Amino acid sequence: MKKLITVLSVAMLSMMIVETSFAQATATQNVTLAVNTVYKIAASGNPGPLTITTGTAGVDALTSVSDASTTYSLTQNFGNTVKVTAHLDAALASGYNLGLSLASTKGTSAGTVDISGATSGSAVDMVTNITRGADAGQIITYTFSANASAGTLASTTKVVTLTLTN
Amino acid sequence: MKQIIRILAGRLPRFSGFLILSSATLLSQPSVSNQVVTLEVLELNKIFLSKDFLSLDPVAVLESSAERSAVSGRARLVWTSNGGARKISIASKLASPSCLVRVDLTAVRGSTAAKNRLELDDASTQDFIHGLSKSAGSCEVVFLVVTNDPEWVRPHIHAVVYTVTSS
Repeated sequence: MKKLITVLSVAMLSMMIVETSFAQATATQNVTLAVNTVYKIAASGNPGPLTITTGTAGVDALTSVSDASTTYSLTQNFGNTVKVTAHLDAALASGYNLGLSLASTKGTSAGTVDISGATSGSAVDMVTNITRGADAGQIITYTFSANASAGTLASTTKVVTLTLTN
Repeated sequence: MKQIIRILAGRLPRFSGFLILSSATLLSQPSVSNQVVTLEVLELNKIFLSKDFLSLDPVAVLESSAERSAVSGRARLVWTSNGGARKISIASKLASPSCLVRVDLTAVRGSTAAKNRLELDDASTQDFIHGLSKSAGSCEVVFLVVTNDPEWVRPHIHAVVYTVTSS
């Protein structure tokens, strides 16, 4: 008799649980997700003045100077063919040469590239085949050289534009 | 009115497509970052002589017919200047009237108006190479010691100073 009562109790309890389960309400929501194309590039600041002060007697090419005190960082999710280009606001006069090198761990650096004549219509590739993701704190190196035959150059500012594009 | 609405409704998909395309184009605009670079080249004038010390022996007596071909010592002078209208002058300290040093320039390279010959017999400064202007160049300097002292016993020391100055 005890066994029968136990079995019936378990059965009733199970029915109650099932009934409780059927009494639950649900609600659904549709969440729309999207990730737009993101291109971001930023430089850490401006390099120090590049001043040529010396040379070697008998040699037209003066002793070049360099600056590697700044860095750039980028983030992009577009694809694996993104690149960084560089150009000046105005070309340098003949006899003066500004070289630029961008280090990279996400793409292929072109090494030191002469940007003396690169303007907005003729920007030069600095880093190519940049893969998706972020690349932070990569060193920017400027190298300024000049020939004696070009003469002196009063302090001049040039705007270098780095562009992250596909 | 209904016809206008029908026309607009018909073109809506294309218009929507244009809007979406425009939005995507805007979103994928390249990112730019600017840096300001300050460039400057100061004026510099450099002279280098291949030999700092030359031992010159008197090989000719003044007015001797052999003096023109006699050579006592030679050195190569090279220069670089990015200034305009510069010249190299030369002077001999401790020059002696009894010991004349003749300086000939040969194998001049570079845009200059160099003197072919000058004589150092006093402490005066003489123009040596004119017309240095934004260039590098070189020449060979040939020294000839001429003395009118037949009994040349004591050494004569000339400290020859080369200076780049404005023309």
